[in-house]
Amino acid sequence: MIQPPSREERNPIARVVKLEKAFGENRVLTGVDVSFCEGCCTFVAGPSGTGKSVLVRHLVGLIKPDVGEVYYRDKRVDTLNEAALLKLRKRCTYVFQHPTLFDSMTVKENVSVVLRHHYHLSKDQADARALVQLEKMGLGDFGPQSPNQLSTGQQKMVSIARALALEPETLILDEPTTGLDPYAARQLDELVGKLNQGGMTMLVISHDLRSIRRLADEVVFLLQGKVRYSGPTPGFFGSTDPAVRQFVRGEVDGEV
Amino acid sequence: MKTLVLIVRLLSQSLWSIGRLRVNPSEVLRQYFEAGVRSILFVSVTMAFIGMLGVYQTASQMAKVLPEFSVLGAGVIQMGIRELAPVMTGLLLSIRVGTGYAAEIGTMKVTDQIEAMKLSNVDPVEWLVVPRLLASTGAGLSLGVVGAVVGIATGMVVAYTGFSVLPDTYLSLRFVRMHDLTMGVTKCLAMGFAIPLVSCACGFEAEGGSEGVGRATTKAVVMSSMVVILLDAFISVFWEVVM
Repeated sequence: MIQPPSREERNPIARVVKLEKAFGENRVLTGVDVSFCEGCCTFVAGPSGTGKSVLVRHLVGLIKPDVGEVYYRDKRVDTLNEAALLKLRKRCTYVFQHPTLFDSMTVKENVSVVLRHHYHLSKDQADARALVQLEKMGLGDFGPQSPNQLSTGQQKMVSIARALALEPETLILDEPTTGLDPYAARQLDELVGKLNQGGMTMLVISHDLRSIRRLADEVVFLLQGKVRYSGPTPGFFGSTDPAVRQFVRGEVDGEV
Repeated sequence: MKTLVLIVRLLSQSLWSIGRLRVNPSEVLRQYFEAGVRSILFVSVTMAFIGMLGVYQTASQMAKVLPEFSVLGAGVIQMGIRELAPVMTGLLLSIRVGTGYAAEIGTMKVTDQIEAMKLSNVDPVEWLVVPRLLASTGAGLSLGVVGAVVGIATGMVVAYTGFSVLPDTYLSLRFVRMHDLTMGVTKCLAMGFAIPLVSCACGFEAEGGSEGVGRATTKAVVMSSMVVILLDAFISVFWEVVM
């Protein structure tokens, strides 16, 4: 029987090379080199404002780098045009930190609009598939409601349902558990774990050490726009880097 | 300059979408209801007072020279059709509708909804700008007509009660030419078309949370009001000189 490759043997699905990005005077990323392995659950951690979201947004072409290269499956992302980016975004989907649901639509329409525009389905076909996706995530009852009638946690789940409706191979979640109660956060963690076990590559931005310990195969730790740690999770928790140790231990004094 | 470039880009993308009939009719109707129908009261009340004051001031000035009001209505109607109704409606539309567009799109921008649209393969211009552009153009014309009718009607009441001008005398179209009508209609359409372009561009430029949305909204009302005045001047001169 052929054994599936170990985590270490897997190919990188996405990588950035010597990435630099500044917004005006604010240099957010400086010389970032990092890769994300296929089929892994990689957590991007670090204090607030350190460039985590900026880094992963480069992977789906939402931000263009000032310097450096961005690759997804060996295809250069930062030089793709909008049409090519759309194809990429079907395979590699990004879920924002805030539930970015469209207020003028119902929950079901929020999911079906993606299907209609990406797969050119009719409204009825898209609505039917959207409902299936919502029911899979236990959100079927919310279909006819407006997003405003849902709690933040429910809205986040709908955002994820919308991303999953595209059946991507990679899902990027930007701080999915921020603002959620512990129960909703654990539910979301379970979903992340389940999707990853199903073969989906997961990239999760999070500060939540409990989630990292439970789910992460690899961790990328950013500090002041630079990668301070990139590698397997046990190495992250056992790191001797003072900044990583401070973050892991939640200490106030130090570089972080 | 950046806003101007964005306005030109939104204009070309919108025309491209409209040309390919990539228009959502139900959204256009919804936006027309919001921009047009829901503005009727605001426009009517404002134009009612402007009509009354306009007639009162004009008649008062005329009375100082010659207390003869036979041309009062004809003059007011001509001015209402070609100047007052289009400009005032344009300004009211920029206050009520333009600010709403800038705030709505600005909020969507700062909460990443615009980026989410791109990820969803939904063209933000096609989805947000085109329906507002078409609805506001239609609303500009309809509200211009409503404004003109209301202003002329309330002016007639003041002319009759304050200066004993009979309605038959007041409602004279002797000064009104086709030229005035086409100028008024053109102004209403042009202003209704320009306001969403300017306001949506300001919304798309918003950044930095609620403060950014506030700045975008203020910029939208200032810029769209200026555009209304500039369009009025440009169309008036163009009509007089070229047409």
